[in-house]
Amino acid sequence: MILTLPLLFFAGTLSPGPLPPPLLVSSASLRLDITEAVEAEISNFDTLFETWVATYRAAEDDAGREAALENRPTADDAVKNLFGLVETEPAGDGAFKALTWIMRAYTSEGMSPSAQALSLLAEHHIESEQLKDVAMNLSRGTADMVPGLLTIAEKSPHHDVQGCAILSAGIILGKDPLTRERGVKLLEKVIADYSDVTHYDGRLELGKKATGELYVMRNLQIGMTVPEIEAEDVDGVAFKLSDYRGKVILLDFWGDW
Amino acid sequence: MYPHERSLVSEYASRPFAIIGVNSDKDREVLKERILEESITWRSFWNGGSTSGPISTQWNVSGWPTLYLIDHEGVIRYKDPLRGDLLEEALKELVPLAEKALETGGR
Repeated sequence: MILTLPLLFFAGTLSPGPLPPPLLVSSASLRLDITEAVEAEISNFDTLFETWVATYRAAEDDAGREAALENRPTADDAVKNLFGLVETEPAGDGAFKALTWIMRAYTSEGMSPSAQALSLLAEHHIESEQLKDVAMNLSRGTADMVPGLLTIAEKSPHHDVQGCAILSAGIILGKDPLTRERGVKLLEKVIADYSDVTHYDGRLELGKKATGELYVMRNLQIGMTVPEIEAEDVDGVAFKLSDYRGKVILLDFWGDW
Repeated sequence: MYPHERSLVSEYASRPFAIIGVNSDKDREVLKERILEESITWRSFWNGGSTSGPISTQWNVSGWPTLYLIDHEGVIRYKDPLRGDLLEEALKELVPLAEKALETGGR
């Protein structure tokens, strides 16, 4: 760019019309286009993964499926290669595609940087009472946080840190149908053993929070029949949600604020 | 949300679609005035005058608005995030199914 700027200026002073195209073409041809390489990398992995899915589906019993899970291909190599490509042209469309793919990728570590940080916190700062906040804030975290949270739950000497870590792990696991049962068990443990724990100056009671999350897991999942609501309307007239059966209902929890 | 909701109500007027609210405002009388001002025609359950009222507590609602889309048979079909295009698309899918069921049932 440093070299082309004066040239552009010069070209501009010679002819006031549109810029001559050769300059643009040459600058475009200098730019590396990684899109094709990125797509090839992703498609290689997709093929590998689809082959594995077929093997998994073909397994006849739980033992076979467990064995197949062991061989689930990881995206380690693909992620490494894609990062390499991104470095050559980080601002291009190819890089965008690569980076968004990497964020969803399943690596053998199964760990994002924040999960790695959590695991180091669990290893080296397990005595800290501040892990209560760390654990609580991870209730909206991702599945790769769960091992770190469970380590904290197991090893922290603080009852309230343990409770928050189990609660967050339970909420995360409960979101995925595949791990929901484990999530349910953890939330039941929170209700049984950690109902006395509060957070945010008492505004959050762990037992109540776990009860609410369990209710959503058991009653409010997509595909479930909606629970009845029976209450007064704003004018004080009682009615039921099921009065509207037969219609599509947009149920809207709202407030005028 | 109000303008979008109003436009859904008018778009699906006389078709098997309803918005049902669960309102968590504090003051019923103030709310009634606002409902008139904003032409809010859809019916709402009263959540006891608090965001931690009985309905939102049982449903574990911690963000507002929270939306659920329920089909004509009472099955939860979509949950948040349910905004804009996704909501429109979902209604285009579900409302005709409700109409079909009405026709079949009326035979």
